[in-house]
Amino acid sequence: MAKEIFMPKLSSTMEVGTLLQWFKEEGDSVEMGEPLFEIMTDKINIEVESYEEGILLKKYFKVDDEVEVNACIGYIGEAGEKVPDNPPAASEESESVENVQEEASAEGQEQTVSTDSDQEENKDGKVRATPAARRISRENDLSLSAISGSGPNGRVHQQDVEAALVAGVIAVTPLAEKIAADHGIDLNQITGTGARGKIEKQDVLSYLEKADEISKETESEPAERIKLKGLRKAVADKMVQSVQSIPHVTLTSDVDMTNVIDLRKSLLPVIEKDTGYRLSFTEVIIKATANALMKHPKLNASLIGDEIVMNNEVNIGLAVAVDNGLIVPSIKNVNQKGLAALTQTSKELGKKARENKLKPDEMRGSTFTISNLGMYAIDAFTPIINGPETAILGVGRIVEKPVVVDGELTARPMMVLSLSFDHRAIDGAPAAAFLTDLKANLENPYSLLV
Amino acid sequence: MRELTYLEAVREAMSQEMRQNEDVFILGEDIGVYGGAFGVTRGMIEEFGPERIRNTPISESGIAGAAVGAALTGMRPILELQFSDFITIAMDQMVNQAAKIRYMYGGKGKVPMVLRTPSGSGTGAAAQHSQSLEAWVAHVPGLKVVQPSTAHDVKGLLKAAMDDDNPVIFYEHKLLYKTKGDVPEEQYSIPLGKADIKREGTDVTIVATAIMVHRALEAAEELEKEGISAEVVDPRTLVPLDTETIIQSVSKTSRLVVVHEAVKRGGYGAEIASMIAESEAFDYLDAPIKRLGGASSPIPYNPELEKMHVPQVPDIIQAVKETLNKA
Amino acid sequence: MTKFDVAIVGGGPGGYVSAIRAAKLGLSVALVEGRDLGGTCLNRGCIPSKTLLKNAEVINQIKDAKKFGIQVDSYSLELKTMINRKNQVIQQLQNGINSLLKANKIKLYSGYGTVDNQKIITVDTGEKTEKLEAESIILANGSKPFVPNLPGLNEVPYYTSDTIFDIEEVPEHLVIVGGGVIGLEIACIFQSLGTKVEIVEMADRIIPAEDKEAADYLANELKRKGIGMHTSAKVLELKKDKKTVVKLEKDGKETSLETDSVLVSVGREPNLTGLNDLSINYEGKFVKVDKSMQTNVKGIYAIGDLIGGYQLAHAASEEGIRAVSHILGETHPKDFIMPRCIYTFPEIASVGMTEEQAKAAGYQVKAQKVDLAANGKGIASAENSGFMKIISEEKYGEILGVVLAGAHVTEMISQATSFMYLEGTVEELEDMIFPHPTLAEGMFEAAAKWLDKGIHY
Repeated sequence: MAKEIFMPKLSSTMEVGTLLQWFKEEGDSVEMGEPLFEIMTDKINIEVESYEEGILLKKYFKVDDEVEVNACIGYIGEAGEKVPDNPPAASEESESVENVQEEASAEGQEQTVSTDSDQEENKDGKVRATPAARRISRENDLSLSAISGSGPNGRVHQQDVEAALVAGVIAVTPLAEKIAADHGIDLNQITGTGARGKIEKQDVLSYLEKADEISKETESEPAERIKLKGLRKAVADKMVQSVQSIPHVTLTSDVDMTNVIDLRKSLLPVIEKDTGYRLSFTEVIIKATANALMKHPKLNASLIGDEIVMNNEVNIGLAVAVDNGLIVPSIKNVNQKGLAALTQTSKELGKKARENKLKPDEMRGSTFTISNLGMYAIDAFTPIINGPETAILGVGRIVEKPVVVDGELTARPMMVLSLSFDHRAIDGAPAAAFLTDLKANLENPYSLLV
Repeated sequence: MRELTYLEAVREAMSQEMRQNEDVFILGEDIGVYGGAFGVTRGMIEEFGPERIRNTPISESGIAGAAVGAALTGMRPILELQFSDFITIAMDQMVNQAAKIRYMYGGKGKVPMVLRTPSGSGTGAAAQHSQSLEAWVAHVPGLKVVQPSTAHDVKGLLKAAMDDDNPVIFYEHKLLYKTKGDVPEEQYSIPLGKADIKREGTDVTIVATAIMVHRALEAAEELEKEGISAEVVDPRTLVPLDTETIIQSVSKTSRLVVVHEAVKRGGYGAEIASMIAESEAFDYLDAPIKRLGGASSPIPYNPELEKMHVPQVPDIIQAVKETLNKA
Repeated sequence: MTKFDVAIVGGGPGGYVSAIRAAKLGLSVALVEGRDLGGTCLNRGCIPSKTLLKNAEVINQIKDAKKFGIQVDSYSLELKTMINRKNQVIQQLQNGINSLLKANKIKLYSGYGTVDNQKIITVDTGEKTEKLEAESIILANGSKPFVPNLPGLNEVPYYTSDTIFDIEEVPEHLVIVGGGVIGLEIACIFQSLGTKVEIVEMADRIIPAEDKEAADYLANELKRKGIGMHTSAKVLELKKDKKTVVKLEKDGKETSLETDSVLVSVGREPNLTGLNDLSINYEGKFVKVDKSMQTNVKGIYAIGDLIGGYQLAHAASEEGIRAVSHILGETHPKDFIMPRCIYTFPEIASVGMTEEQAKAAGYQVKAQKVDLAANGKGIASAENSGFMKIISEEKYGEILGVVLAGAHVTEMISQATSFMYLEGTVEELEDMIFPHPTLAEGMFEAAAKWLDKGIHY
């Protein structure tokens, strides 16, 4: 019997996947484990392998289609087997699981949600309206969907329809009406200057003139419009959510990097020989950060719901800029890794990220994030926390600056660290203490060996 | 006009009828010299004698059975149950005998009897003596169900109940016994199945029964201060129900709040709400129908909890405002 | 020095209407009038001419009575009574204006005012001078008959519209120089009174500013009544002989008319008395204003005949109201839709553009004319001479102008004005119900015919 091919759900936040390419055509034979198609999720591009072997019988979607997770996107089976012409509904098993979850959470929030009046339409697109409102709109040939309801959940009441009826009566002179109709102008767009706002010929003509000007303006410089989707959309959503829900506080501190530079110089050849990768300042900072996090576990915590989760592992996320956004691969158990292992892991993850080949697991589980803009002419900035983490470290460039050492003015390679923390979970003093320890670690990196 | 208490009006209705109709008599527990649990028949045994004011053993089933038998043989008995909760014991006689006989014998026999009984909470009589079970009997074809709310209504409705050739369950509310109102001295009859608009209004219809009529009126008074005009409809009889008056009122106001003391779940308010939803008033509804009723628990003995169990004036005000999106 | 929100110079239909409107809208108002309240219109124009035209109409009816089976054996005219009636009418209307000014607490200064840029008006009452100051000033000085510099004119007696309404004797022969509205109306008055009337017009037709069909129609009707018409005729010279001799040049040939009286009505010129100290701009002889009636001096407005244009009483009133609106901050003046009436026998009434003007304005014009010859009410009352003409734009049926010619049309033009003002189109005009029988039905017929749906046409 033919087996369905499903759009996989690769992360907890994934709702749809975009088909990037099919590796097989209908009629091709497919081996188990052979790449079947590639998709883009909100986090990653990934090749999906076949769980079945047989003939690819049907492809329901084409490249660039957005497909809901668990939806059937095709069939694999024996040659000549019949499969439906249209994709069947998403598999019941997985959906029922989702539903149970939704219901459970809905029940828990019922008290607060039920009075919420934002949602104007039910999920099925039906307008919520009272029978009286429906009757009057029916009698007056008015579309309920155009009326905004004043009742709970946006329910349309009789008075809303009546108000819409009154508002809908547009006073217009016959001539103005003809001209507007001739130009296909919605009279609602026009402000009348006649008695009690009656729309007159001149009002329509002015509107036409203005519309003409606007269209001329827009014609001259058509700006490119890029729809927020995929990774860009995921980044956008996450940033908004973080900024809107987390009270950010950012602390900065100057770090003298003289000793780190020395350390890197001496370790660079060793590690390169060992792993083939070149040690960068990033790995030293990761190491120093992990060390400080061990002493200040609060900064390594996650704030989930109304609980602060004290994470056992120190997994450091490393913000990597990719073509269309930002990906944060996670380096696991940093505190247990030496600089060589760290260098290897971080370089490999960075490469995968840039090539869009990270596995979902490699993007999960970070407990603290580092964002390094040191390769640019940036000193300090205010990084946005990667929730549910409670802190993020922003790393600036290393630049020679005049500093006073032992009463003498001298030039030193200095770097600014910017620590943003979630003030709901962490107060200023512990955050400052962490940053102070981190600064000490970096100014005396050999202490990391202790 | 002369004022009487609700209780006196019940007594007067029976006495006046008994003076002119030899077939009418009362039977019940301790209704003789003691005058009944609430004193409704007090003094009647002196006028009508123990033959017509008959004390019975403590057996509601027996009382009801005797009344059915007497009615079948041409008498017009009135039986009194001390608390409406005890109708459970008389249920078989009422439901399977009284309600069915006229139908099953093709009208050759009839059961003209009135079962009078006090219902409702508010007296601290706790879970077994405070219920409002009118929905049970209203469910049974063959029984008429009356719930008067004023002294004036109770006299006229009882006359109509006594005149009716079918068994009538006549609910008197314990807390209403002491309420006063203008009551004509002569006999008069208020037809069963005729609702009374106790207060006219334009914004919302409150259909309330028994003591809830008074709470609804009080709520309406308060609402008027906020510019909300509530119409209070008292159905007076649940069976037969004056659907026309209620439909007209709801068609006018577009909003309905039903209030009764009986437990909301499965209460008679559900019947009124459904009736409206099925009627031509549906297209005039501009808000979901609201029902107010007792909580889904036995009636507590604690006086505060007892009050909380049943709808009070602020609850009605709140419900009305919710239908108007003004809560 | 008393200070007002608005001071208005001139108490004619522009000035006094502005004054009352301003007062009604809460402004303190001064009105300066050096002569008679009501201005030219009431004292020397519209009202006296309409009063005497009524006399003429009555005479015409008596003359026509025989047609209706009524024999009037003899009648005689008393010019003195006619002029007295005219004066009573004027008096009654003047009293009316006076009481309106009082009721609206408008301070009336009787005397000629001189206005300066500081918006101070010096009023010379003849006995003393008074000064008043105003935030805004509306100049409504009006106009006076223009007397051209014709050779020999000063040697002969002549009337203007200022003097002719007080004439003491009906002349036997009247030559009217100027075939405009004023000349034609006066021609009709005297023609009825039995005077031999001749009109001399320099242009190739009378009422040259009006619709050509209407002008031609009117010329024919007047000729039929016996009024002499000399169009394209230039007055060369006037001479006093036994009678007055008017020498003309027409079609290159010289002729002369002998007459006992001459009326000069070739137009009107603005009355600029008291404006010398003002640095306002002019356009030709007239004061230049913007759409809101404001001159180049902020706060000084000018309206009515002073600014030229329509030179109609109702135009002056509307311009005054517009000036007051602007003083009160309203800034969206619309184009005027101005009705124009000629009270000759028959009457001509029009509104909006003439066909020629509409074409010149670039519209796709479709005009439709309907003759009143077959109109039921017209035939019944023997008033079926005339026509109704709708000038419309083709695409939307927008009504650009209407011309009516015939009896009572001055009372019907407001219907057309309403349609234009409310932006009704030919379709609505056709759709609307007209009562039968009326002359006004002609408008329905014209609209229906315009839409190729005519009933009787």
